[in-house]
Amino acid sequence: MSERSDRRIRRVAVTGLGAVSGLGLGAREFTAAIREGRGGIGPAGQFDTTGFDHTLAGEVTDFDPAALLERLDHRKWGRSGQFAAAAARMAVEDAGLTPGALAAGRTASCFGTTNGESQVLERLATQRVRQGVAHLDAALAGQADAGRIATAVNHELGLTGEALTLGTACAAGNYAVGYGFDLVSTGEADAVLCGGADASNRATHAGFHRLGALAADVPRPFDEHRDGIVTAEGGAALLLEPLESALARGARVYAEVLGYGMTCDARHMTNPHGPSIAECVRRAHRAAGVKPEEVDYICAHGTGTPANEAAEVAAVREAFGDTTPLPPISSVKSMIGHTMGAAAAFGALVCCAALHEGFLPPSATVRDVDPALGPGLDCVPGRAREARLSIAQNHGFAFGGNNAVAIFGRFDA
Amino acid sequence: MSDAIISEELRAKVRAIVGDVLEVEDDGALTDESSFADDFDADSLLVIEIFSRFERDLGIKIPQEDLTELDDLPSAYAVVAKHSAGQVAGV
Amino acid sequence: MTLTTAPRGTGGTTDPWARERSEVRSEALFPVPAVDLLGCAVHSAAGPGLAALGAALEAPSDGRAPGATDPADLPAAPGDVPYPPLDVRPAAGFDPAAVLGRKGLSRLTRTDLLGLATCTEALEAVGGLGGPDSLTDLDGSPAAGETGVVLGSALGSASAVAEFTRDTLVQERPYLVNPSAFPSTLMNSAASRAAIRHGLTGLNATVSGGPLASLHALRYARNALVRGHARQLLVGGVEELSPHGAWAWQRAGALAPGTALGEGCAVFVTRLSPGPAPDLAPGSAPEAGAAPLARLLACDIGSADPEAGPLGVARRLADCVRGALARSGVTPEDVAVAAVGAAGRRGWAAVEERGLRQAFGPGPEPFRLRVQPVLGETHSAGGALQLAAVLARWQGPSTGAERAAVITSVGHDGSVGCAVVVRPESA
Repeated sequence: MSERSDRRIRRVAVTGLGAVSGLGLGAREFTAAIREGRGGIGPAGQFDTTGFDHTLAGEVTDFDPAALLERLDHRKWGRSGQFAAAAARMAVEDAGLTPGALAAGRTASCFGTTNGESQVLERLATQRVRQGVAHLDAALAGQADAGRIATAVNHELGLTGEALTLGTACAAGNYAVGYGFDLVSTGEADAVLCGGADASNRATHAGFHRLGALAADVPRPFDEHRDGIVTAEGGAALLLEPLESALARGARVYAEVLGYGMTCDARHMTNPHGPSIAECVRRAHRAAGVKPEEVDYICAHGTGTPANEAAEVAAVREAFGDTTPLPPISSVKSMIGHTMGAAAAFGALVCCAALHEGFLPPSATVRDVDPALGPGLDCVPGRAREARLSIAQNHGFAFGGNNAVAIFGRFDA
Repeated sequence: MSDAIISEELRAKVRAIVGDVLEVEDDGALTDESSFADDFDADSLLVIEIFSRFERDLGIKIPQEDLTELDDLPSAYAVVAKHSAGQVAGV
Repeated sequence: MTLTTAPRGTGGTTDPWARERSEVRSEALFPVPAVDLLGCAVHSAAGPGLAALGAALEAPSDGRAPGATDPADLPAAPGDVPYPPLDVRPAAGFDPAAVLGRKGLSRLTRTDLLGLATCTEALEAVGGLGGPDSLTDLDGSPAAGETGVVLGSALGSASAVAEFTRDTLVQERPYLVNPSAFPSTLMNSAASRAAIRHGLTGLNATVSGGPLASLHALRYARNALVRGHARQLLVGGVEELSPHGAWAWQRAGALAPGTALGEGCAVFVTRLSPGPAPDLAPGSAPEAGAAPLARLLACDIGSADPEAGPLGVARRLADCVRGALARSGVTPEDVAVAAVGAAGRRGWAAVEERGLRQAFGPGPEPFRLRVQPVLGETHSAGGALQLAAVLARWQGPSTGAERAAVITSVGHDGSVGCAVVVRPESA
């Protein structure tokens, strides 16, 4: 691209990771669990499961906002915003920075979500049914905007840059990482906290239940008998900064963000469309300046529904062409479930950790790889494998046909 | 076969639900020979909505494994009959 | 600037917050390429279109709606959620079926309808995807893959989420919800449906941010055009009026006294300006192709913690406005109009006004264009409707000397934003 010659286009490093997940708090704990192929799914506890046929969820059972948040009064913020703020604070500490250092510069936040402050909305809906609409809690009514997710990050860290919440559903984490990448690379910001957050809630669970999209047991992406997703929650954050400043301060560089691409299926609200996903992959490759054969690993959207993996694998085959063998492709949703707006952010985090530490994240729950997905499919069953990776590709697709693919590269100092 | 045990009244309800979901304006347009997809642009989401309305409006429960394809009225009568046995017998 | 690594083990405990707050950051001051606003469609209490909006804003206002609200315009209310005792102003004469046809409309939320119909009309305003000035791919076909949608929305359809969740609570089994209603409970429903209807396979994004949502959309779209993620974007903001939302405003007590609750949507067709940013001197050359309605220069957004005091939010806004003007190459004296956004929110008009006074200094004050007295508080559609109001004003005969305007928004969470638009000589 001609922009490459522009002196303002800077290389972008990921120097901090934060995770609030069903597999633990903090990127270190989360990554260790991913490498072991541990599961983070259990009985849903964030909403009353009476009457549901499916009652599993991937929830953050040990989340203590009062302990994790320093500035934010968690009582005034929804659970999604709390997740984002806590994950962002972890990412800052992981990067060896203080919030003060970031706040003193031009630092923005950018987080994706599917359902926004869903638990706030659920409580309001419950008050309406039980007490009547004239008795809605006044304070709660002021906490319903989804935009408060990124704002929570700014307030927790004292940031004065823009706070953008992207509502592009389950692709939103990649949208957020991509926008953060643009802000840093163009010089609009000197650091960006980006990621995604969503909270376990009744409406989302009911919606997927109604669509027949919930798994009977744990989700089994790429398995011949996969039967759906498990709804989940969490928050994931990445700290992006110019590579130059990261090196100048001797920071650990997990990975470089190389570029990203976005498309819209423009066909159907809920069914994924392979050719549009393939075009999204091609755009991401073009933007990142990588060739398909250079990609060492794909962190799949991999929800565990029959339709998703069929469309996703076909799309990758289309984008990579007949002559390029498929790189290993796996789904961390096998372990944490579908964390909705946080899903692609968790994927991005895992890509960075995999590039830095040198492993292939597993599809932990797969038993029999679906032969219908075609030959030569390595979905890394069971546990992680050691592997030195150079380029990782992270997928995020959403209802409404919103697709986003982000590309990360290993950085060798 | 299974449609033999479904009452006229229930048939009419099933037909009304399908017509409502598919927004069939001309009352005579929806026949036993109609294809939901070809004649009324039904997609997977609308088919699930039809099942959903059967459950809500007719008070029946259709297990997830039966929430599959549905493209015509005779199959709709059959699936409703299968899951409303006992509720409509003898009506 | 360069980040400095913290000494290990100090954590966040030594952060000198108090000192940092007093040092408000300067914005990124390098200029960015301009974005042309080529077409516009708008719905609000003023009625459909820029002309109706302009006329309503021109009319002397005593704080009342431009005409009596037609009950037929009011979105339906479920039995247990009647409208609260608030002055509400639905989009006047909004007839989605006339734009979209009748089929399938019953499944769409009010937000879907407003967003989808307005996107459709905006695209039609530039002749559709295949019009004479339309963007084409190398082979001459309409550039559907390079055309996308960016909409600002606070949380999608609050009424749809409320009704869907209600079903999970009152139905015999909690999952007996309407599956077709499920995708409409997501924020990206309206933008996605616009893409589906028009086959727009390019970037499709939905951004939130309460009253900042529309400015976020403009800023996000500008970045996407500059970075080559799309060549043409439908950009705007949408907010629905619903009894559920109205009760939330009522209970939160967030509306300024005398302010009505409104709704609306404004969508602009945007492309990167073909030439360099126009200078403001008379006689700057018109660009080739269709004349833009206006040109968006900078759109900057920041935030301040309101718990540190409203003065900090005002300062942050002033900083944001100054930065946006500097990046635009526009001096405060050039700005003829300030379309303000915070007037509808209790307590925030004063914060916005203070920020603007700081930004514009002792010089001539730009005319304050206030949309709330006419349209009511329109929350996430606000910034887009303010921008539409500026365009509508500039279509009138008496404003020919006005060259530049700012659009400002302030959120109760301390977020602030400012967009700078100029009228090209050719317009």
